[in-house]
Amino acid sequence: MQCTTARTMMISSLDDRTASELERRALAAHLDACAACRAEHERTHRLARALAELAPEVPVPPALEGEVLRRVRGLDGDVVTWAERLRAWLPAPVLAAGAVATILFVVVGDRDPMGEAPEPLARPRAIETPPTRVATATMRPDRAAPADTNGPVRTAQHDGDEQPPTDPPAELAATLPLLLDLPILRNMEKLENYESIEDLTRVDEPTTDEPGTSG
Amino acid sequence: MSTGRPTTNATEPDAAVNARDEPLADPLADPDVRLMLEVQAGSETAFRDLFRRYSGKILAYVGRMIGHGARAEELTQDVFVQVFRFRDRYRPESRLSTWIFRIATNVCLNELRRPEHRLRVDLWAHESDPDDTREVQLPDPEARSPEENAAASQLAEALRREIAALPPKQRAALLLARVDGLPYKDVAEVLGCTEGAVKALVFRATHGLKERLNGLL
Repeated sequence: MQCTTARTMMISSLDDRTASELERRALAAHLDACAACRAEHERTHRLARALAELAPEVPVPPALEGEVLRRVRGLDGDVVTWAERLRAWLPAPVLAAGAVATILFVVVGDRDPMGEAPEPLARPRAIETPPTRVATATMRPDRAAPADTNGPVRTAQHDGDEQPPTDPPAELAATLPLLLDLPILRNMEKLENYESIEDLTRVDEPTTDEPGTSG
Repeated sequence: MSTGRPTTNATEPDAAVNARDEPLADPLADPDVRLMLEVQAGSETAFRDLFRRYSGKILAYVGRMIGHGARAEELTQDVFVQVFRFRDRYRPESRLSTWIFRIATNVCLNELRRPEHRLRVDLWAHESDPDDTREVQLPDPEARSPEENAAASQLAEALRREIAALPPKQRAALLLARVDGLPYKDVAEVLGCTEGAVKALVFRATHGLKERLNGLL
């Protein structure tokens, strides 16, 4: 038996409940042979005796009993709420962890309080054909695209030697509804009319010549 | 090898109760259980008896867990008030002492988590009175020489200080198992862990004390 094992067993052997008979015999054999462990064994037992000499109970102040009875008699109907039961039997950290978990579940569990979370947009694959500029002018109803809106989107610029693609790439076609739905495009008319609106709504700023504005 | 602690609790009649490590065959044969059933029925006399039977142990335990003094007495009150308030939760299948110590341990561990207690613990460490023998009963001082008595007192004072410095769960496991003599199974029930965990806690606590008290042992 190694000394480290023996020193571990010394503490275990303090309790008849933990060390087996075989282990105690093995320890005894090692102590017969090792002076250092014998000394350590003595220290272990002196500690055990010092612990055993601690009084299991102490005198209780006489007033303590009266105070306890007074508090017990004053319990109102002996009503114990569920919260008090929890606090009595669960340590504070467990209660705190439960509260945090509940908050996280409420906050994180439903990211979109308005309903189903939107499906993630499919990432468009690389477009193999040269990108074609989709003029915004084609999106607005007052500059109507060709009557056949289901037809291909014809751009203003294209190489005259090459025939423009008859159909947009599938990836671009898939994103068109999104482009059409951009708020900035929906409000493009408002932006175009901004200058006229600005003239009507701009507040005239006072000039430095007016009384009270000079520093 | 025995720890020196009595193998039976002074409050338990030897004939009616099994060995401490054995489960209660007939709970109603245990006078503590019968007492608690009367408390559940609302008997103040029974509650008073229960208080007198356990208050000394609980006050000693609480004092060693959080420090002696007025706060330990307040928490001891809290323990017994909770014993009364939650008396309907007690089941005769477990020992009454285990149930009460569980309440006391929870009260102490909650107290030790309070920020203000950390300051109070530091003050208590400096206020320890070497002449305070409340918690140490030296066996017949006249049987020892004066030098032996002085050494024993010094060891007892150092032991008290080092126990207070143990981590709370190690401290609780050590006190319950080595001072109050509870079986490891009951200590596990008090602490809400396995027996294996209790053995580990007691081992670490004992080993730590031995290391720090090496010069005095």
